[in-house]
Amino acid sequence: MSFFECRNLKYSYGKKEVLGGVTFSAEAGELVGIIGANGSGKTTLMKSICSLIKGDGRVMLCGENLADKSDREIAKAISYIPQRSGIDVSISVLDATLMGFNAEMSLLSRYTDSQRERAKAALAEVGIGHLSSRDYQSLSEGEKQLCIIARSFVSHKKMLLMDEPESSLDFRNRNYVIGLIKNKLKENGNVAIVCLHEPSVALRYCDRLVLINKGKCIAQLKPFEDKIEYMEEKLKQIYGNITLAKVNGGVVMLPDD
Amino acid sequence: MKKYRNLVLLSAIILLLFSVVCVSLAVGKFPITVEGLILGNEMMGRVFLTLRLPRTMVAVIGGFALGIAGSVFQTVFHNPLAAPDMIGVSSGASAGAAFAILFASGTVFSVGLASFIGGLAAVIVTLLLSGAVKNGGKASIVLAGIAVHSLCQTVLMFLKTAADPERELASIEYWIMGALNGVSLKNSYVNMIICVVSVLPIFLLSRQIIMLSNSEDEAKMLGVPVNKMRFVVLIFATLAVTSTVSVTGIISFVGLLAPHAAALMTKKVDSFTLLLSGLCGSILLTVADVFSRSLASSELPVSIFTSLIGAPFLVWLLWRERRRA
Repeated sequence: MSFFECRNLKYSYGKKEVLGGVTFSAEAGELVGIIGANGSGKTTLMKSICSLIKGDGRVMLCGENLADKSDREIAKAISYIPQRSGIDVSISVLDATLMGFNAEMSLLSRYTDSQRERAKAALAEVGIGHLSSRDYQSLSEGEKQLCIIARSFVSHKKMLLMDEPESSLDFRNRNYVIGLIKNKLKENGNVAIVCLHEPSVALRYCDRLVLINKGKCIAQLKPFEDKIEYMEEKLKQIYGNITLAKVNGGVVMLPDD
Repeated sequence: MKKYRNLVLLSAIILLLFSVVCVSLAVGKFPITVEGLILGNEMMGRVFLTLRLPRTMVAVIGGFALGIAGSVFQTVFHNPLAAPDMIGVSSGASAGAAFAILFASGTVFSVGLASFIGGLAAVIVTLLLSGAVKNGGKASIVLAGIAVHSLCQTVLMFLKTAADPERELASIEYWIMGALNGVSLKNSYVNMIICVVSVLPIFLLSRQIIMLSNSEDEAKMLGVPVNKMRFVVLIFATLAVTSTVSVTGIISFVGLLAPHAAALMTKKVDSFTLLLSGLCGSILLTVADVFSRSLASSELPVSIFTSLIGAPFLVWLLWRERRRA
């Protein structure tokens, strides 16, 4: 049995089918990338996996069906990062990061010193430890994204679900953060499913890639095992005329002239 | 350093409130002096205990409640201009008060009770309506609030049309403008107890209220029971507002102004800022009440003064939001 498995996930907005039966699985320690064109159903798939929207199909995590779990139990098991955080009040970066502990705390309890230390360590890990006392609203979009990524690191959950966590990050931070997520997965033995904006980043870091087109999974790739020609053929179904090239031991996607 | 700064700020605000309370206890048609009270001036003692003390107490506790409720509404609705009327509190209370003025002899007790029931009923209908919408989030609460607000305004207009223009209509208008001159210990102590009891859980849940400033999906995935929590905190905030306005009539702008004044001082939203919002509300309402009873030969509605400060502040707030955008 796989660490994570979603089987035949379907979802429709009214009569419009957005997910048409997506099935894939992942093993402990794996980084799974979801890639697809705009409007292909990636975000709907992410929300379906963590039960934010309820469609047909089954999601299993560590052998347990998430449909049988309460919202709080799901929140304890899964860390979710949306494309953009909705925090719209002035709070310190440290307080925004501490929110990651909420699912494991009782309603009325306060943050402990140990939690504060762990949150500070998570901020330092993503490279913004020096901003911990700053107002979250005063951060750049990239710094906000790093803060929310740190928030997902503070408590050790079975699965990280991240919707384009790298979209606001610069080249250096993008590679650093995805690399950091990958190392954490190996360390903690959990799994991450990440919608990625940039296919080259996905090809470089992901153990498994799920290609989504018009709400359907058209292929699953293993970038470290599959042949480059096979991956190129599958990616062309989404992105049109592209070429995959090997650079410094990794694979990058380039548009054809 | 941060704790020290908070302590200094809190001490300054409490000192200011204390000064304002002293002025409020002394100023009015019948001036009260410390000397008179110590020497046992019977008239002065009676005015102090039966009029001035309850009135000041209502201004302090009511202002505190309005400030706290304003902060809750602004955070829960992700809207810096949110106020209790967004979900029908004030319009429901106004319709209730108008009903009591017309059909229940208009005594202070009946008006207070009817406005309390009206405000609470309006909010419960708003929350039930929004709950009936599948996947309805805060937008559905706001829409349901607008519908309930419009309905209450229609009822109010109908009641005003039926009112005697000389007596009842004037009473309705005066109540809507808000005043603390009808306050006595007898007609306000129950409301003030409800007010305090409603504000306490808001403080206990302050961490969860701040969690609601995330997007709905985020808050849910952070383990917040979003719909239940929103319902609970809105009910407590509404209880605090309704128990105040049922004694004082509608008080404009305090709920909008106080949280922003507090946030300007602390530059962030947390439980300390929530406390400051309450204290700023107390100061604002007490000052407005002092002006309302000392600037003219007859008492003026307190909302005139809260609006005089609030309206320019609102314009400034809109200007600042636009600049930020």
